[in-house]
Formats: sequence, structure tokens, C-alpha cells
Amino acid sequence: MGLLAPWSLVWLAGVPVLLWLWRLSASSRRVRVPSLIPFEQLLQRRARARSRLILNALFWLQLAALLGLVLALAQPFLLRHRAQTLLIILDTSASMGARAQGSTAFERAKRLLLERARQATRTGDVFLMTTAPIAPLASRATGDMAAIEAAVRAVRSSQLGGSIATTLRIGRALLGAAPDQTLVLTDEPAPSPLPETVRWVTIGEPLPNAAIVGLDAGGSLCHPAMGFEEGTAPPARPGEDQRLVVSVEQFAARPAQATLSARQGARELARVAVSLGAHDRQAVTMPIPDGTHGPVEVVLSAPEDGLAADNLAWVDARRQARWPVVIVGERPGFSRAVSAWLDACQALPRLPSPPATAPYVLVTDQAAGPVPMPAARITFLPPTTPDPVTVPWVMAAHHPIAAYLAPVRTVAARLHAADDRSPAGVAVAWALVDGRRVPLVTAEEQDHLRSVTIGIDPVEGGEQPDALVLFYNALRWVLGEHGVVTAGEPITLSGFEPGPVRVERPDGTAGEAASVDGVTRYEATSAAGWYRFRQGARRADVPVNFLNPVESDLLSRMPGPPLEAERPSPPRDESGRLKHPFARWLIWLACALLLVEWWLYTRRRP
Amino acid sequence: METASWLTPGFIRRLDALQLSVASVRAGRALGGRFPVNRRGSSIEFADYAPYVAGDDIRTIDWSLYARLERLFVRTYKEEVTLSVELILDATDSMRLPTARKFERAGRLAVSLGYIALAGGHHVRATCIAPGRVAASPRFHRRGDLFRLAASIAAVQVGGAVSLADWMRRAAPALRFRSGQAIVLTDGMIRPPEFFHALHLLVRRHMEVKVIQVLTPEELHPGRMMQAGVLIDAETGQAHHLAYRASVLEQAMAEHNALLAQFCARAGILFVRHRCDEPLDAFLTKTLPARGFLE
Repeated sequence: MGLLAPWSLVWLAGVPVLLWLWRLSASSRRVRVPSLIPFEQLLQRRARARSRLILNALFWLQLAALLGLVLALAQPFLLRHRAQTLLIILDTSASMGARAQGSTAFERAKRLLLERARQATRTGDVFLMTTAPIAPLASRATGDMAAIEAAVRAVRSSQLGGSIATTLRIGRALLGAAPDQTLVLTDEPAPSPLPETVRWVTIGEPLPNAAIVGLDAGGSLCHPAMGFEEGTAPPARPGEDQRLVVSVEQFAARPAQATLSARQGARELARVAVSLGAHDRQAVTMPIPDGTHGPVEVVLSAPEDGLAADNLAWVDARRQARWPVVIVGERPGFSRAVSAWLDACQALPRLPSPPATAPYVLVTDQAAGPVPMPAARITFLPPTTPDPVTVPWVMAAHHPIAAYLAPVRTVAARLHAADDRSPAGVAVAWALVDGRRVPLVTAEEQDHLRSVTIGIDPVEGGEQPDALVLFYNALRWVLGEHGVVTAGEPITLSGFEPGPVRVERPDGTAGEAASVDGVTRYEATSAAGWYRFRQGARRADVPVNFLNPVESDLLSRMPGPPLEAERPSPPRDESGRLKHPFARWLIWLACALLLVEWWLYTRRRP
Repeated sequence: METASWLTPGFIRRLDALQLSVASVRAGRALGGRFPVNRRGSSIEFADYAPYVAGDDIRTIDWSLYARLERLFVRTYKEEVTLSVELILDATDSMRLPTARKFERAGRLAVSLGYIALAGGHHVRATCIAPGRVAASPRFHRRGDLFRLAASIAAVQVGGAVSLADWMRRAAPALRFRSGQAIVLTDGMIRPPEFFHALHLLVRRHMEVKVIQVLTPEELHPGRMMQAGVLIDAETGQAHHLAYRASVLEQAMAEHNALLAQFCARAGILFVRHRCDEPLDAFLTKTLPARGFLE
């Protein structure tokens, strides 16, 4: 035991004061007694008042309370051996969902975690971290086994990849100090070298697995779709059968016969048998009926399949529009300049004139014109600056049209810098011209018709890579293409009013996203499936897919990067023990003693 | 003192089984009492033989004894007389400290003993040791006077201080103490010489004296009451500092009480100490008979 404030013992000077007060109280006390006659002999023996102090239980209680308070002021502490802290890292990545012998690696890892935690909480505390996403299961290290069990029972494996090294680093940072021991429960092999205090437990064994590792509906906008021959253009006429291109990989040393099926609800749209060789990857084309729109589910069935999460994929057939592009320009050089831009993307069909009834994308320099109503529109406003001007552009963050563009860029081009018009829709880019903020690009969506207005002259600004990227982003946006969102990537949408947007997750929970400047961004995509965005009557459904070959490869799990060595611990008490102050208990004890003393006093009072 | 609700029929029945013990009786005034006297009385109960003196009734000469002893002896017969019982109750200030329970118990003892005397056919009178004029209750003769006796004792006001010897010197002639029995109920908080002197006055008037010292447990163990501080004598008002161990105080009290008991023993006076926490009927039915107070 020790004292944090030993100088407070000076208050022991209160003991003589207590004795003096007792003497004073005793001598001043007046008690009427029946008679002093029986004690006359005593009185005769002592000529003066005897100053002997008569002590009783009340005095001892008061003295004990005084000593307790003085000791509490001195802040005593007990030295106890410091509780050991065990950091447990639980791998919650998708590969932990691999099932063998009736249970998944994740279930076995949880059982082992609880066993180790029970042992550890007998002498210390446990701090739990998960890898996918990287998060602690509790706000601080705890020895409460009931809380640990509840947290572990509630945790689920995700459909994300994880990083043990990063999780360890973050766990140490959250603890504020290096833990005494670290336990890693994962299906990855241990990296080398392993720090001394890290115990690595590899759970599970190599398993064969067949997985969907890629999904494309008709090919990416400007990349040749897998399955088409290089250099050839896809069919340019509208109304052709839609197709899905599914990449399947066999992570096994043996070939297997797998089946891919595309379903929409109870209706099977397509079924393809796939012969997969050992360690083979194939792109399988699945034609689906024309006009199919809405959610489509792709299911892989294979005989030896260790992981179920990578056997499903989803796509929104409606969003994969392949409308042809029609260029209508008045100004000389406009059509040529835009055509040159479109030549960079062979996958896009083009038409010389608008079709009578089929949807198409109109790229024009006319604000309005006698053309059949397009399904989407990109309008290049005529430049108002006679010569190219070098001005800074400011891009709106998070809008899909601003993707891959720096937030601020200085570009030289002829611009439509007039501020006489009110931009319709959301401003995506601005230019600072003569001290004025002029909207350069605006995006609008009304009644499912998307249109983009661009104030950059493609004729004089065509050489600018940023203008090209801006044009293709706008094209992708008006076509409604999102690409394929994989778990862990954010979902970006437009079309909602500013304010909160409810998000219904595939795991049954609900979240919220904020729509700012017409852009809604949601980042918590840890589970694969459909994410349904709702705001009043407005709705949007976006699929998120697993598509992670690294996690799907259960056969050859690779060790992660080496773990960081621990930083030296801060200096501690020499004996390695912790100080446990107990002044508070002393104060409570003193109060209890005084209560007993008061009760005794009232009983004794005549 | 509260009303005599403590005089329950059961309690009274238990008192009926008791009688005052009489060590020696001086002749009372009126005939017809229950205590036979060894003198040449007219009852038929043989008492003793006495030498013949001139004037004795020759019919009482025991001729068989003469034949054997060749001396003349007469038979004597007992004469029943009535006893006067004086209940002398200490009503000074000391009797209400440390609690009023002390005087209350003393009063109940007085009433109980008075009833036992009435049941035995004796005359009972109660008087209180108090400052001021000496006063006494009327004499009670019958059992039915029990509640009048209880009421008269209940009406006593405790308080004041008076020297027992002085009071006895005034009361004895005023109340005409003369033979009979005197039962003194007091706490004994009196200087022993004074105590001795007062009782001696009664003995000189041919009274059989019995003393019951009534004390509370606090007085027997004064350590609790007299821990420290200024102790004020309730009767004299004198103040003293006393700071002694409880054992010392107890010893002083015990010595004082022992002194009182020793004097009584030497003087042939029955002395019994009663603790207020002792049950009253047990004291009356067991302790007093065992000590010779009652039969």
C-alpha cells in the first residue's frame, strides 16, 4: 500500500483535538442523579475534579471515522498486479464463411475466441477487433465475459476483404498502448516473421471453390466487353437481345461442371452449363430476353463449393442501357469534333439520324429542335467567349459526372460564360470567369429523362483530356450506367431531393444517406445484395456484388504483409503493478461509522 | 402514578395466598385480630406454662405437672390481637431519578404489601417521606379498601428533599407510631448514620421494622449514568465532577448498600433489595417469602 498525498497525514493533528473536545464535553456535561451520597467517599478521596477521560464506544467510533477520513485525504492505494490486456483480432472477411464439416471457419473462430476470452478475463481484460469492416466490438477493453459473449454472438462475417495488419495497427491505437498479448483468428496463414506477443491461429483448411468473379451486362461503356473479339464493334442496332457476361473461376485442382442460371423472381431467364478446368477462369455469355429490365439474379452451382457468398450476383437490367448515340449539330465542326470523341469508345452504337420510335441519346449544340424526343440528351451550349480562355474549373464533389477529375483544374477552352440563363438541374462544374462563378456543366433528371448541359466548346476544347473525360462521364450518367458496385465500394446516385434518403440493406437492416446537391452517396456496403433507396415516392435499387477473387480463393490462402513490431511500452511501475486507490471506500466507511455513532448517541441520550 | 389497572384479579388472588410475617408482636389495641399473643389471654389455644403467682386463676393450675414437679404452674392461653401496619414510602426527589419507574414500583410494592396486611385482618396506613407537613392516609381495615389505598398512594407527589431522621422525629409522634409493623420503602440514598437513626426511632417505639430498598439497574451499575461531567445531586443540588471508571462507581454503590444491609441485619430489621426490572409478582411471591417478609 502507498499514499499519493502523504502530506495529508498532517490532519492527524485532529486526534488530539478530538480528545480535547471529549474532555471538554465530558467536563461540561451536567447530569442529574438521584444522589451522590453513595459516592461521598470517592469525593472525599479526590479533592478536585478528576481529569480522567472516560472513553466509550462513541469515542472510538468518532476516532475511527476521523482516522478513516485522514487516510482518505492521503489518497491511499493498493498495489495490484496490472491486468493483462489481450487483443483479439477476429477475421470477419468473406472467406471465413467457407463451410467444411458442417460448420464455417467463422463459427469455429468464434468458439475459439470465447474459450480464449474466458481464460483471459480471469486475470485481465480483452479487446476485440474485426477485420471487415475494421471496427472494435466494444468501446474499451473489458473483463465482462457476459458483454464479450453478447458481442461475439452478434457479430457476422461480412462480404468484404480484410487486412489483419491494418486491424492490428488500429486496435493498438484504440487501446492506447501495446497489448500484452495479441490473438489473431483467421483463415490466412501466418506471416513471417511474427512478433513474439502475437499468437496466430489459422482456422480452416484449403477448400475447393467455384466463384463468380466478374459480371457485366453487355460490356462496360467504353471497354470492349469480354466475349467480343478485339477490335469488333458490338451490334449497333437497338432492339437486339440483351446479354450478361459472367466471369467464373474454379479455385480447385480438379475440373468441375458448373451451371449458371439467370433468374428474375421465379422466372428463369437463361441457363448455361460451364465446364471449368482446374484453376480455370471463363467468361460466360448469357443471353437474356430482350426488354428484360429490373433486377436479375445470377446463380452459380458447382459440385465442390466451399464458399456460398460468391455464388450469387445481381444486376439491374434496366440500368444497362445501350441506346445509340445520335449527333445533331448546327455549328461547323461540331459533329466532327463529337464524332472524334465518340471514336474512342467502339462499344457505343451510333446512328446518323434519330430513330422514329427507339430510344437514343442525343448529343447536340441546339437548345431545342424538331427531333424525336430522345431518351437522354447532352447539349453543348454555344461558346460566348470568342477565344479560348484559361480559367480555373471547379468540380462538384461526389457527382458521377465529376469522377476522375481534380476538384480544381485550370483549363483553356472556349466557354459559354453568359450568366443570363438559369441553369436547369444540378451544377456539376463551374468556371471562374472575370470574377464570376459561371456554371459550366449542369445535370438534370426529370421523369426518368436525364440531360446534361455543357458550356465547353468541343471544337476548340476537344484537345483537353479533361473535357473528354467530362463528356464520357456525362454520357455514362445519361445512360444510367453505374458500373458494377462491389462490396466495400460506395454507391453514388442522383435523382433525390436534398435531404435524408432511407436505405434498406440486403441484411435486413436500414440506414440513411444524405442527398447533397442532388447527389446521394452511401458507403456502408459491407453486404452483397440489393440496396434500396427511398425518399417519398422516389426510389432507386442498386445491386452490390461480392466479386472478390482473393477472398474466393480458398485453396491457396496467401499470408498477408508482415505485422508491425510493437512500439516500446511507456514506462510503468517498476514492479509492473497498478495502483488502485481506495480513498472513496474509506470515505464511505467513515460515513457509516458516523451513522452508527449517531444512532448509539441517540440511544444513550437520557 | 397511573391508575390501578395493574391490580388484576389474578394478581390479587396471588396476594391472597400471602401473609405478613411477624417476628414478634407487641400487643395491638383492639382484640379480634388474627395474630395470637403469648400472654394470659382468654382464647382456647394453649400458649405456654407459667409459674403460679398469687392472683392467677387456680383453675388454670396444671395438677399433673404439680404431681411430677411438686411445683405449681398455670396454663396460659393465646390472645388474638390486630396488627397496625405502617407503610412508609419515600417520596423525595431521589425517588424519581433516574426514571419515574422507581417511585412507581415502590408505590406498587406499598399497595401490594398493604393489601396483604388488609387480607390478614390488620390495619394499614400509608404515609410518605416528603418535605412539609407530615401527613398520612386514613387507616384501612378491610380488603375492600385496597383501591382506596392504591388511590391514596397514587395521589402522592414526588419531590423535594428532607432528612429522613428529621422526618421520622416529626412523624413518629405526629402519627403516633406505637408497636405494630413499619414497612419502609426507599431507595436508600441516605447517609447511613441518618438511616440508622431513623430506623432506630421506629424500633424504640416497639415497631417491627422492615425495609425494602428499591433501585433501578442504572443505580446498581452507575457507570452508564455517571460517565463524566458535572453530576448534580437531585435532592441537595450539589454538583460534583466525577470521572471514575464504572467499576469504581459500582463498588462505591455496592459498599453503601452493603452498609445499609449490615445495619439492618445487626438491628434485627428485615432488609430486602428490589431491582425495578425484576417482575413484581415474582418478588412478592418468591423473594419476599424467601427472605422472611411474608409467609
